[in-house]
Amino acid sequence: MTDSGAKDRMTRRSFLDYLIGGSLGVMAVGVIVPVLKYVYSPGKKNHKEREVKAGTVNEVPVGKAKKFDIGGKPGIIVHTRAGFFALSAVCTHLGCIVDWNEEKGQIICPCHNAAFDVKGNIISGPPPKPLPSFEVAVVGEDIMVK
Amino acid sequence: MKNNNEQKKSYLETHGLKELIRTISFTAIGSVVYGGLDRRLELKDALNEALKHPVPKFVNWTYCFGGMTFFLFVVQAVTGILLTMYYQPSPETAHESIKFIMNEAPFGWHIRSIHHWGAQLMMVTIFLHMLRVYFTGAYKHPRELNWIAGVFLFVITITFGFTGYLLTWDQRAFWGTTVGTHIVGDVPLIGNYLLYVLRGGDEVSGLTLTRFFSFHVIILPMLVSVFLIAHFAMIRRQGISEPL
Repeated sequence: MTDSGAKDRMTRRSFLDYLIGGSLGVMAVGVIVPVLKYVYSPGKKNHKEREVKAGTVNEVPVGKAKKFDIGGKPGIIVHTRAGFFALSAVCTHLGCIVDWNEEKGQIICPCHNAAFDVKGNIISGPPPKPLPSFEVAVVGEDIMVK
Repeated sequence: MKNNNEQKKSYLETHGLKELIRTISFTAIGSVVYGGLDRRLELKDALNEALKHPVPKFVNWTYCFGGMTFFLFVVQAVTGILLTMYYQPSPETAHESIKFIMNEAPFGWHIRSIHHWGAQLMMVTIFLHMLRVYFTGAYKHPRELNWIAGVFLFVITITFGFTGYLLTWDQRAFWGTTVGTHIVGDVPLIGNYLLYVLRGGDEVSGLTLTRFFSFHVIILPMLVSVFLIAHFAMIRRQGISEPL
């Protein structure tokens, strides 16, 4: 601090100080970055996947439903006499995972008892929006959803 | 705002860039310790008392092993907490979750390897620390209690290692624990009861795994904290013993 040359040219001491400080900084980054990456959940890898195989025709007989994964999020496929219907399984109210209720012929959210029809339209309950629906195509035995 | 900028500038001129960087890097700590909190609690004096505590002349590098052990303990605590984010202490999933940590979780191999090697190193440094204390006669009066606290810390550290060994839940862990716990059975009179309690049954099973997990991440850390505080409080109160 008393050294007036410090602001004009770098002294050996301040050079070494920078070197130590820089090394410590690099080490700190080397510790913090792996820890943050580790803590951030590895989760699902195929977030980009837009068309997925939701299951096979045999797995979902008429009157039944099946959950599947699309882009890392849950979807539900319902088989009625009118055919296959694929919807997002995330309730638009508070994000609970909805279930197919065979007796009622409705999709029910277990959290606040919301009811949707197989096209995702709201029948009753608190949801602000219908469930988003997906296109379904049966290719041979496979049910493809996008 | 503008005044503040001008102040910064003049500060840079009078103190140089190095001082500025130093100031910024300590701002987080500095604003707390030297700021509003210090005006109320006089933290600065307490901190200086701790950080600028003089060390006797005879102290050399062999006096560092205790501190190294504590450093490794902190590393073990941090990496251990991180590992519990993915580890599942059940017989069905324990080994799978470790494979997940090693192969899937980003830097999971890194965190677990540090935990693994930190454990090995900690045994080395704690033993060297014990040797240093023994050969400098530092355990003698009036420091007997600190020696005893240290022996407890040593035993707790070994127990940490032994309980952690089972958590990988592979063949080596299973049979290692079978043999290790068996030794307890040879304690006179109560050996068989101790063995039963330790294993949570007649044999090493899933119950042993959850039991050891509880010891490893909850019971032993609480226990070791108590003895560490006692250990450090006593060395601060009594000072470092002169060698023989």
